[in-house]
Amino acid sequence: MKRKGITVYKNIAGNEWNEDTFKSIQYRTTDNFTKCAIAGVSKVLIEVDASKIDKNYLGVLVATSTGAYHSIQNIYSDYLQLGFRKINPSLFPNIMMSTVLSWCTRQSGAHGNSTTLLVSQKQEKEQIYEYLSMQLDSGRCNYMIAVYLNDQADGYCIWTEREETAIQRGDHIKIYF
Amino acid sequence: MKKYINNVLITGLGAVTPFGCSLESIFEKVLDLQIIQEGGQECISKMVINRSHSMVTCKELFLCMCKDAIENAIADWGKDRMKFFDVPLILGSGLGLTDALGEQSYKLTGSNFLSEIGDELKKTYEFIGSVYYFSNACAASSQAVCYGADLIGYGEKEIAIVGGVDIYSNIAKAGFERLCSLDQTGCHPFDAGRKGISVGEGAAFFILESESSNTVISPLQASESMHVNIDKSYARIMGYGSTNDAFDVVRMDTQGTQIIRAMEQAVTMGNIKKQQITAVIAHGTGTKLNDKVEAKQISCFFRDCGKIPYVVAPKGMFGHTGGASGAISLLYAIGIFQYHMLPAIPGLVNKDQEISIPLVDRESMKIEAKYILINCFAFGGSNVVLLVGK
Repeated sequence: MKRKGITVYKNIAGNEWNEDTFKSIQYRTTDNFTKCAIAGVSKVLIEVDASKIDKNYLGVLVATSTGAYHSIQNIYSDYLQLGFRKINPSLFPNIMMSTVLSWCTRQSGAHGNSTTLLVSQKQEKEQIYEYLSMQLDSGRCNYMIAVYLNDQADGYCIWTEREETAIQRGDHIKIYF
Repeated sequence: MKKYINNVLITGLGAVTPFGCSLESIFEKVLDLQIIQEGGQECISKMVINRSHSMVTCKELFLCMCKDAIENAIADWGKDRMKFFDVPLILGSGLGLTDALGEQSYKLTGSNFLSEIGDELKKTYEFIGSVYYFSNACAASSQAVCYGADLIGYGEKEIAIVGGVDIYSNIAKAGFERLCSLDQTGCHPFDAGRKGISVGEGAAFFILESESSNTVISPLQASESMHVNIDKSYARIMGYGSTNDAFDVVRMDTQGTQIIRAMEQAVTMGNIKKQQITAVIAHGTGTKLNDKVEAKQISCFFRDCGKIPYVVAPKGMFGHTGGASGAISLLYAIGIFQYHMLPAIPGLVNKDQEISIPLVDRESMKIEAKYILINCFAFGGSNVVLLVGK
């Protein structure tokens, strides 16, 4: 078992992000939950020079215990009031966890194994670290970004890797798994 | 990527579908000529109409489908589950309990109602260790199976219960209708007149076991050193590939580079040549663009083999079962191994002339399949390709 862990750890708190990030028209349909995830990934990428790494071996894990609860609630309420015609097709994908993941992979350019997990709040860290460890140990990914968020859009985003890759990048592991 | 140190065998299976709950009953329908000609939509519609008269809540239905499929899988496995502990349950579900928000009778317990399912299932089965819940849209159960295979293949666990479930979702139906990608007449994969997906439901769970663990020592009875013989296995999970397009939230990358890479990863990990693959179970959703892109990539991947393997598509029968679709496709692959038949694609009437892959249409065909590739692509750009062997 190789030594591995967290190189960068960033907290995500509410809507504490740079509004300029989301001025582009492409973000007009993103909800608060997604924006927080993107902001978290951006914060981590600022500290990691990801320009030289092979993105085919960069994966993303989005974990949550609530999902995009507010988006699900809003879209369902529209649907219940006026049927399917009331659903905004641009906002509809926000009810799926895959949408948040897709934004995070686009943001980071990750082409490696990426997924979403619904985790129990009691076991959140254990499950996330277990999953990340498996991806790094198996060599399926050399780097994994993990985002954990709840419906209040509080959480964290971490950059994880094996010790050897951190050293190659001129960095070091801050917290070992 | 490291090769597995243990062989990962599927030694038990259980399912709940509109076409039955056992491999026998499901495959009897899969090979039924009438269903092949008409597709499975009528059966699914009947089920939905019957359901509308019942007072079952989403949560009750979801848990009931999970429990029935898991119980069927354990019964089929045939071993005493109480002799094991810390067996992980790894499930995949795309929308999960989302429809519960539409029920007046349902009292939400909080905004974490989606993730509570894992805890609920854990309460039901004392022997279950951690519950992992993948929610990555249509690739959810494929990724659940892959993670279970990793845990066993790399020697972290001896046994795992893996699978997927998705109930018929009104919000999914409404949303896809609004996105103009719903076909009211059912799913017609690779057909010239295909218009989109049709929503289905189902659950399929499997017991994955390590072949090298012919001797499994129960921590509860460590002194007795229990011997568990693996005398039955339906199939072996050889490897998988998992990539991401990182391209668009809704659209698939028409270049398909990452799909090809996922297929290559699966074959490399399985340590076989792609010429040895007998069949491909396509994701085949019946949407115009996705079927075209998938067919192009299958054709491209096998270009240097001289011959493209036969392609089948279960969604013509089951509809799009969302997060469960990967597990249902795995069940389909096991059926192909067991019955030595490649089922014709239900709902495929006039093959799209732009698609140049060998589709099994009109009639099912006899085949001795050895290796099967299972494609699973999710909304948002996740591509998961599973390689299973007999």
